[in-house]
Amino acid sequence: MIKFANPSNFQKFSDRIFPFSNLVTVTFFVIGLYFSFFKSPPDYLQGETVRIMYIHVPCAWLSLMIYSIMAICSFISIVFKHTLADIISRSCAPIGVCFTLATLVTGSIWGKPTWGTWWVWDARLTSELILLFIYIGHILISNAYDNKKKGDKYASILTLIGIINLPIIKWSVDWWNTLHQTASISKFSSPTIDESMILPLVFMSISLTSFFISSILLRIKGEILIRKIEIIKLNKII
Amino acid sequence: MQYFNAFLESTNHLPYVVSSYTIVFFLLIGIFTLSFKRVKKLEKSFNHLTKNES
Repeated sequence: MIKFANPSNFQKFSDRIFPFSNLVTVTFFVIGLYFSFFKSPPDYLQGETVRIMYIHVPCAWLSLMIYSIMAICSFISIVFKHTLADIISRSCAPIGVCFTLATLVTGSIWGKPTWGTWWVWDARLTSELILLFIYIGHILISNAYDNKKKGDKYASILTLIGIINLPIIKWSVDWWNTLHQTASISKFSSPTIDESMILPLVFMSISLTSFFISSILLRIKGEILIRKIEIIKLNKII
Repeated sequence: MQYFNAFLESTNHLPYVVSSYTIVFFLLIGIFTLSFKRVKKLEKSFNHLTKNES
């Protein structure tokens, strides 16, 4: 693991992984679509709109997972001052914005036929919206300073403060009365949805996780290149 | 096929489902394309700088 903490070694490793993760993304996306539309029955209550779940839930899971990765990297960055942790954190934020936005938009579209409204200031929806603002705040702060290190430091502090929002998102449906339903899939109990609905969810989750890996590798490569270019330019001036 | 045909016939729900998948698809393709273009541009600039150095 320590070997990959070196940005150049990490870049070599990511170049090898990149085509494979792209292949997994496309393959599982096609399989996921097939299972979502051809093999999964409509819900007895929600009808055909239940198919939104197969894209909405993986996006929501990823929005939380990406933030957790950012929080771990922010901690490493603050404690050990490791450059790669800052690079990963910076690279995660725009992808996190996309997945959180996708969660909010698909949730809103799902809410209209199911709840009769596009939006309610429900605990789950509001906390997910706050997550989006934290992601945007991270991007703005990390790019607000000419000195990248300073920007990364303040953005890491914001990420660590914002981690308090993660348990709120996860358990808001249990703590408060919300329009949003409680979790159907839990680590500690058997799922409350049918197998025919779990399969497309699993395939789509694998596809989107693999998409995240591809995107993060690409963005990390970009961040490493930016730093290398800066060093070359600085050496020229000196 | 039976489920898919039923889905196509459900005119009430079809636009909601299709628009959800389309938005997510374009959002993700968008971020990937932007990242890819950015990396290509940076690679070009890096190669140009290292060539000049040598």
